[in-house]
Amino acid sequence: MLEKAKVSFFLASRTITRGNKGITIFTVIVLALIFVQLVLFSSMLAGVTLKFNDLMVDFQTGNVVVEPREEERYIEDASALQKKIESLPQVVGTSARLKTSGNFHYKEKEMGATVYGIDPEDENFVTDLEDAVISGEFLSRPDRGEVILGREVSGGFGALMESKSLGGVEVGDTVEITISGKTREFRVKGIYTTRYFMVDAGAYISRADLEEMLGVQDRDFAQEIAVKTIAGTDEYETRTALLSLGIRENIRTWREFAGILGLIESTLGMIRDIMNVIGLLIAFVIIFVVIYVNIVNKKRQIGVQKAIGIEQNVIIASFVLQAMFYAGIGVILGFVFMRFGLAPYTAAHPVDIPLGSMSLKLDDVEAINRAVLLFLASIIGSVIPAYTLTQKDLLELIWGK
Amino acid sequence: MENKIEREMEKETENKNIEIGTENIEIGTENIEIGTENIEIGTENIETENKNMPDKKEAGTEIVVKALNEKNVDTIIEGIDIVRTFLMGEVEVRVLRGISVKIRRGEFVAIMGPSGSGKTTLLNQLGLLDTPNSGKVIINGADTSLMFDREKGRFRLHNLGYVFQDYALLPELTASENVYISLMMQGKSKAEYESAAAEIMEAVGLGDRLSQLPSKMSGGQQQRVSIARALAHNPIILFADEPCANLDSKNSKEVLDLFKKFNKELGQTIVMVTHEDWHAEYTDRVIRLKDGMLE
Repeated sequence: MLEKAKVSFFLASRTITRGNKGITIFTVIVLALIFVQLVLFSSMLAGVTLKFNDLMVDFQTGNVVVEPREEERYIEDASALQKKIESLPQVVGTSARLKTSGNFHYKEKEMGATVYGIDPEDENFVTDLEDAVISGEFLSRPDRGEVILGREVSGGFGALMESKSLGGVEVGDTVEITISGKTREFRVKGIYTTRYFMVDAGAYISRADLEEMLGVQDRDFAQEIAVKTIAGTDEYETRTALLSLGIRENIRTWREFAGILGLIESTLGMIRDIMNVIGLLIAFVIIFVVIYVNIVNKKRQIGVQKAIGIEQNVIIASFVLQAMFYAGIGVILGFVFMRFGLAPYTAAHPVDIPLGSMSLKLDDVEAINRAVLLFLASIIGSVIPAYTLTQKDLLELIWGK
Repeated sequence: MENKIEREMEKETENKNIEIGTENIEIGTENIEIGTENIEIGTENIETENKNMPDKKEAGTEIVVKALNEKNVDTIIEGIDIVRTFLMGEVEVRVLRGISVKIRRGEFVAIMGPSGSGKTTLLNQLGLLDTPNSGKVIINGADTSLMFDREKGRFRLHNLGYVFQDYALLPELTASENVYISLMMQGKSKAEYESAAAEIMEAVGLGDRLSQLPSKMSGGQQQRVSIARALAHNPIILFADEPCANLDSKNSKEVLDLFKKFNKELGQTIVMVTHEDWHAEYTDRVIRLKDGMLE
C-alpha cells in the first residue's frame, strides 16, 4: 500500500516539477480565479450587508430604538426617559426625535421626504450625521428656521435620484417645507450624504421647529429615542437592561427596526447561497474540463504506465495528487489575493454602488468552506477522467486503436 | 487434431522435465519470488533450462512451429489458436486467424511479415498487451486467459519487459527514473532500485546519463533507456515492437547488439517484431506471418 502511494506521489511530483510549466501555471491560475470568483461575490454581498448594518447604526437608528407604546403616537416626557436610559453604563447617548413626512418646495421643484426634528447636540452622541455633512454645517442647538438636507433632497453632489430631487439646492438657499398643512421657509444650513440612499432622502431641523409645526411645542414629546451603546454591546442585552428599568415603551434593536433592510439582507443572503451553488457547479465544470484536457493529453503515457505494470489505482492517484496540488496552490493564491489584495484595497478605496459605498468583507470561515469545496471538486474532476481513461484498453491508450 | 497431438507431446515433455535433475535450481529462484499461480510449473521448466536448451539455431533460420514439439523443449510462451479481430467502423477485420506458436526459453525470435500481416498484433497477444478473441497464451506455464486485467498487470510488472518502436519513455522522468519506476512499483527499496537502475544503465552504455531527461537524449539513447527499463526487473521475456524503426542503421545495430548480448550472456528470451531482414539475422529464428496466418 505504502509503495503504491510512493509511486503515485513520485509520478505526481515529477509531473508537477518537470511537466509543462505553462499548463501548470494555467491550471493554477484558473483554479485561483475560480476560488476568487466563489469568494468575491459572497464577499461583495457580505460587504453590502455589513454596509447596510453600519449605515443603519451610524446614521439612523443607533443600536436600539425606543418607540411609543402601542396605540400611542408620541413618547411623553421624553427628557426624563432619556435620562433614565442614559443611566445605563453601556449607553453612550440618546437622541429624542420627532419624525414626520414633509413636502419640500424649491423654485419649481417639489418633493416629499422624511423630516426629523432633533436636538443637534444629543444627535451627535448617537449618529455620525455631523461627519456626513459635505457642504455647509450641521445644526447647532440654538438654530431655528434652518435645515440640513440629504443630497437626495437637495440634488447635486452625485445624488442617485437627481430627477426627483429639488434639483440643486445649495447652502444658503431657502426651501419651503409643508408639514401637517403648515408651510414654513427654512434656510439650508448644510447638505449631507451618507452614500446610503434611504438616509440621504431625509432632512433634519431642530426639534423645536418641528414641535411648532406639529403643534406639540413645550410638551416634551418624541416619536423615537435612538440609543447608542458602547461598541461591542449586544443589542438584545441592552434591550433587556432597558426593560429592567421599567420602560414600557416599545424597544426595538436596530436589526428589528431595519424593516425593508432586513428583508433586503435576507434576500441578498438567499441570492448569495444560490450564486454559491451555481458558482460551485461552474467551478466544477471548469476544473473538470481543465483537468480532463490535461489528462487526455497524457493518454499515451497512461497506456505506457499500464503496460509496464503500474497499477490503475496508482495512476489515478497520481493524477488526483496533481489536481490536489493545483487546487491547493490555486486556493492559496486566490486567498492571498483576496485577503491581502482586493479586500484591503476596497477597504481603502470603497466601491460606489447605488446603495452606498461598499468594500469587500472576506469571511475566513466561508473562504475555508469554499476552499474545501473547490478541493473536492478538483478531486472529483480528476478522478472521473483518470478513471475513465485508465479503464480503456492498453492498445487504445498507446496506439489509439 | 494436430493441436491435440501437440498438447499430448508437450505434456510428455513437461513430465520429462519434472524428472530431470535440480542442478540449476538457483536460476529459478527469482521466478519463485514472483508468485505467479503456476510457480511450480515455472520452476520445473527453469530447472531444465541449461540442460535441455537446444543449441541456438543460426541467425535468421526459420523454424516451423511444429518443429517445437520435440521432446526436451522448454517452452516459455505458447500461443494456441490465437484469433484477433478488430472492428473498423462496421467492418470486422480478422487480423490473426488462429495462430499457434511456441517460443523456447532463451530464444531470440523475430516476427516478420508484410505490413498488415498481424506482426504487432501477435506480439501484443503474446505480451499480454491485448486479449485475443479466442485462443490462449500460456507464459511460463501460466494460462493467461484465466487472468483478470489486474492480474495481467501484475504479471507484466514482474515477468515481462517491453521495448516500443517510439521508446515510450515517460517524458517527465529522468533516464534512471524511467528505468526504476517498475522496480518501485514492485516495492523494492530505494537502494535496491537505484543500484539496479544504475547497473542496467551501465550495461546499455548509458551509465553517465542517469539523470538526463529523455528530451535531452538522441533516439538511439532513448531506445537504450527503453531497453534498460524493459530489463531492469529481470523479466522472463522481453518483447520489442520494431525497436529500430525510428533509428538509423548505426543506432539500430547498437540496439540489436544489445539484444544479442543480453540474449547470449543472460539467456534472455526476446520476441521482436521487425521488417528488416538484416535485423532478423541477429535472431535465432523467424516466425513469418502473412495475412494473419503463419506462412
